[in-house]
Amino acid sequence: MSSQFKIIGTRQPRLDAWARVSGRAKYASDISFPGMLHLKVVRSPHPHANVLNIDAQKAAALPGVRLILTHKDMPAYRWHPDMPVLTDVARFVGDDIVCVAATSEEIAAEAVDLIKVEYQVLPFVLDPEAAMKPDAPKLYPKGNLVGGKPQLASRGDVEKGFAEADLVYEGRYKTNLVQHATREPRACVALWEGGKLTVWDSTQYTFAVQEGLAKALRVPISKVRVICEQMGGGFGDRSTAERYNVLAALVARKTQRPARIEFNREENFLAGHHRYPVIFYLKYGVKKDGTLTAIQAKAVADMGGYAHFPGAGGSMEVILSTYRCPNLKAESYSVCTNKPEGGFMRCVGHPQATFPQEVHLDIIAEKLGMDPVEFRLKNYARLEDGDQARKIPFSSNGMEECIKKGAEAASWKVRWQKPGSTAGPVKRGLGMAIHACRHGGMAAGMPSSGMVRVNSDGTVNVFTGTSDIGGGQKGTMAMIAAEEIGVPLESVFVTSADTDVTTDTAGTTGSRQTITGGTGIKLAATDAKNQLLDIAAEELKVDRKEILISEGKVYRRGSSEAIPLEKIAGKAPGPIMGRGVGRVPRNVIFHTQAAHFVEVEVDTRTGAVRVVKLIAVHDVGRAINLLTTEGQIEGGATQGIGFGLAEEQLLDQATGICVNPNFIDYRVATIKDIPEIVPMIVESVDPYGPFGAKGVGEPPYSVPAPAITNAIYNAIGVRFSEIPITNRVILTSLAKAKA
Amino acid sequence: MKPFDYYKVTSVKDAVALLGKNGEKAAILAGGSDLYGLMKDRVEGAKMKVPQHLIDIKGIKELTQIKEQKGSLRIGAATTITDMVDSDLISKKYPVLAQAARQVAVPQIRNVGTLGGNLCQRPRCWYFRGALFAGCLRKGGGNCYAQDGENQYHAILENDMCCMVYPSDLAPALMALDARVEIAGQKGTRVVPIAQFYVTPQNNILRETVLTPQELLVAVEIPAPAQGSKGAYVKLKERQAFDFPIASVAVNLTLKGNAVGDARVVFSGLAPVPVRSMKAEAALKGRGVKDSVAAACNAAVEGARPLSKNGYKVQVAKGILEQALIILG
Amino acid sequence: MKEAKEKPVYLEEREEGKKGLSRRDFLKGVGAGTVAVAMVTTGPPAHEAEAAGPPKGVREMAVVMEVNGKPYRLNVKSHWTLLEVLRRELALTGTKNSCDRGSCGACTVILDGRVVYACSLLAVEADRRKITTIEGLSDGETLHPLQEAFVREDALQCGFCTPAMILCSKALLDRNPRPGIDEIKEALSGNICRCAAYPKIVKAVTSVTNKA
Repeated sequence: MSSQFKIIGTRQPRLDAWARVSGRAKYASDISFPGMLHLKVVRSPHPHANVLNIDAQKAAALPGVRLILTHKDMPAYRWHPDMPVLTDVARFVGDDIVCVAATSEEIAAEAVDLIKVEYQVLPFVLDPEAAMKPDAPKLYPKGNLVGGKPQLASRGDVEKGFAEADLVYEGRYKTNLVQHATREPRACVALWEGGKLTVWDSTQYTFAVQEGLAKALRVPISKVRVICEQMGGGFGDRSTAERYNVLAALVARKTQRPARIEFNREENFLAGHHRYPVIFYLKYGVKKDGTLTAIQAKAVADMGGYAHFPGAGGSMEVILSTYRCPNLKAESYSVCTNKPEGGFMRCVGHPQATFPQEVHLDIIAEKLGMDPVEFRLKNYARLEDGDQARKIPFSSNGMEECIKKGAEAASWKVRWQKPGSTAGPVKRGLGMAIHACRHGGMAAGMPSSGMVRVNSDGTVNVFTGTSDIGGGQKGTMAMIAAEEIGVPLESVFVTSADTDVTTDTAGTTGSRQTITGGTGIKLAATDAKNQLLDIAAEELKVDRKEILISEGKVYRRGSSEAIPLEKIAGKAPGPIMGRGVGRVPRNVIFHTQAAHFVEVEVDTRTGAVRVVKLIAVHDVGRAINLLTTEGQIEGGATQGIGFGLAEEQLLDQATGICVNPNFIDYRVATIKDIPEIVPMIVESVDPYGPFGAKGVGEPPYSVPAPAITNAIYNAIGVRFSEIPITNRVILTSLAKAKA
Repeated sequence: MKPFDYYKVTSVKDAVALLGKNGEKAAILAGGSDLYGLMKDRVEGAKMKVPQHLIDIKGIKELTQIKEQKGSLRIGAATTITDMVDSDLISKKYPVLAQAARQVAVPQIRNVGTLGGNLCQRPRCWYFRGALFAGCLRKGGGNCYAQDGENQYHAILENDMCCMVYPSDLAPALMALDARVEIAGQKGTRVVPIAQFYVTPQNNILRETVLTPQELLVAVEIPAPAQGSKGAYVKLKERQAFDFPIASVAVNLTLKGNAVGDARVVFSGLAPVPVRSMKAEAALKGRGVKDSVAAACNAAVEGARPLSKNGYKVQVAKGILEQALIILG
Repeated sequence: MKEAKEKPVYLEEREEGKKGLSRRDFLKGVGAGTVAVAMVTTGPPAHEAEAAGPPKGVREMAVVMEVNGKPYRLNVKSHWTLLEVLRRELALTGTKNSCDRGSCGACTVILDGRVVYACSLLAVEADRRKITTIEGLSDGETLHPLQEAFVREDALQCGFCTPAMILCSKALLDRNPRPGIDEIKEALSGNICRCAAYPKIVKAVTSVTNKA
């Protein structure tokens, strides 16, 4: 895009592409050692039960079974205070009760069959609003409400704001239980040798796993090594020390044999993390001219059996900061229920709030007789508004350009018609939505670091803690280093996600690696470059300022004589190691912005919704690698479409058992299901990101569902307040509307 | 999977002998797509056990052949679905069957899945398939969890006892073509019209077809197509690959000029068996297709008894029949 | 452990061009030193012709399969899937396990020219068949044109579904060198890409077909 850079903004294949296309890439699930033990977990068939007795005698006697662990054997450490590694109180169907380690997977499976667990079945609750009532079954002695009270936020005076409004509109919205369904299931191998633990894990954050294991096993962090060279998809499912990590490490230590655990697909659906369902109550007040005067919101987040954080507050962020509004009151309730655990999933909490808000405002715009695009342009929080909740400015803001560019590409003014305008049973509609959030940057105080080494032949090694989970993070770091130093991209090799040799860049979560990892590498590259410049200055007997490095050659300003970099690097008195530690000020916040415009077709005879075209405009600050930036927009948007139309994990209400923990009945989009996706990039050039970059991995997920819901309304004149919108939902609503 | 005895047979005689010996403990292995899934998921109950003897019939040459004989077509039960899709004979003579075959699952499954396996596949009901739902009627228990449970995809017809839906794509097309099924058993071969091949829950809750554990499906024979006949298969899926039908319909019409002479309308996804809607057929007979679309659609869903979450299937049935008739009109 | 008694593997003579290994092929391959180590042998190979009556059931069997052009002789248990054998016995981990139910595509291999799910095939069913896994496409460091196209167009993200996508593309192009977009999508429809790199995957495959 910009011609001021040689490498930044170009289209580059990813660094580990050769390994991945040739089948040589080793994921954690591909690692194996001679004599390795295989772990399997006995899981609760009940949504809520006390474990009274575990009879593992027959299993222990089975030849090949080496170790059986129960809650009694677990360390005192818990990553989360309420979540023991193995529990004696089952809080969802699939909860971890017993762990078996055997010499083969088959024997471990046989052992699982032989273990008899006696349960005292307890009453259970599946609905979060029911779980908030005083007579609800309690998952914890302290109750089901995480933190014991709601998270509150307010500014201005909402009552005054509603009094000033010409129109006040209320609505209730709900999103459902969704899972990452990463292609690589959860898996790790642990090896204990001479007091040192090495774990090959499929994880987005090796340092978190390292820290958690060190605490759990009471070993120094220096003696725990976690490696993740390739990960088969993350999307937030694993970025902390998980129960299965601790189990593998414990077995490895106790048996002195390598220990492997891999979840089967059903376990992944049950015992992995999930996107927690959220119920939103929204009440917005607006003036005739569309100005927002008051926002009142209540969120009830269904965190499942174990809440790792108060998810409702995470969702509420979108309500607090997307639009400018001086008067606001918000209550966020995070509630535990006997369902699979809510955790982190792509754009944590935000899609669950963007859907309600963007549908709600679409309704309000219509009531005012206002173009939804005009309504957004009028009310979105600008650069000067900043984060109204935290009361600090945004680092950059490209929202206006996103909306305008998208509207133009969609020919919005010409093509947006009144709802239900198409003749015939197949109706077309246009819809849009915007999204803004603090994902795409780095919070102050978050680790940001990197190391760069220039070798004697002028080639470069980059050491970065980032996990490349598919976003091409390795390549991003290489491009930043190559651009900054002035060497060809091909001469850079990246070592990543190995706690022994790389440094912490926070997890590959929150769309932040371009900033945390990238800033660290850029600073390290600058450091290394300065060392090279010093050597060159001495060699060439000129001032540092007179020296340039470009495409692996050293030049004196004004001279075309190209000196190969190795001639300079070779003269180094010692290793050229660049070190970078990044910081952002506490008084500014990264914020990314996006607008999606979508065209749908609804067949009113069958309820089939076909997304025809999705225009996805994202402010990424500066695109480092155009190929991977497009890929994140296309991929995230496709998942977001699934969130809106197709994906939900369903539980049988009578038993709390999930009925579709598999790929047939949990419908992840195939290649035949995708629309035409047009990714468009806006570059606001963030002053704090490396080369102006912000992140983009998550926001594309948040926007399609409400845009599609609004487009469906435009097609058939029916509003939806719950997703996913399947054939069943369309036809049921159409039938009601007719009646 | 747990260990089992594997037999590779080269004749129907040997297959039948092994079935005779092992009965319910044996299973026929053709493509295996459904069988392995059932075994890995440990779908079993009081009256249903994971098989311990797998009889591989892929080596029986006559079962993998598509042969024209005296105008009718005989398709061996172990013919892969891909071979059916690639068959010129089927495409030319029985387009409704070709369309159905093309919409089965995905290429990897069509490449190994067989005609017989597709017709004999077990229900997709997630309570039947769920090992934790041990009391399911069809596994020998006493309960139908779907009646008051997650029944979005279950039956709207013949659903008072067990409300699973029959999921095959090929069966409605074959029924619309008046096909016959050839079964080899201990006492020789018998031929059954495909409409009588399927068994309602009231007649036998443990089986979906008339096959006894000692019998083997060997072929399907389709009579020569009538003059002026044409057919269409419409399948409503949530995803455009992998998915079993929410509902699907095979329509075969024999036209005399503009009017419908004879009609077959057969649905999958609405009932525990493929459902032939004679009322819809009657609404079509003697009239131009375009004139009778609405009447046929309304007739097709008469008597539907929706459950708590699947009422939308009534409209789906009408919608896909309308789409099929528009294609044929 | 029982005494391993090596029984000679009987191979029927086959005409040229028919699927499966001929004796000639097998003997050619043996010289390359790629026969896998035998384990415990029990029971006769099931493909030995039986004179009368149905065959006996076997729980173990010696199988011969050609994988990426090399013949392997293995003793396998009848309940082992081809996927297990490829990954565990032959250390070919390019073929992935993601659902073990034939519902996602990660375990796709090419079997006698057609794509199949290795998790939904027994190893004994692969006896005397030709299998291509992703490892068989590249020649040392040299990538197959499809693999190159995937790299160039960035038709992957996490890479877990990539071997399957490439193999399905190859099987398609072997049948039809110039497929249209719908045909390409149909051929790849049995592989779920959760990262949803689909648009670039289609681009990569069409870039190869345009050159055909």
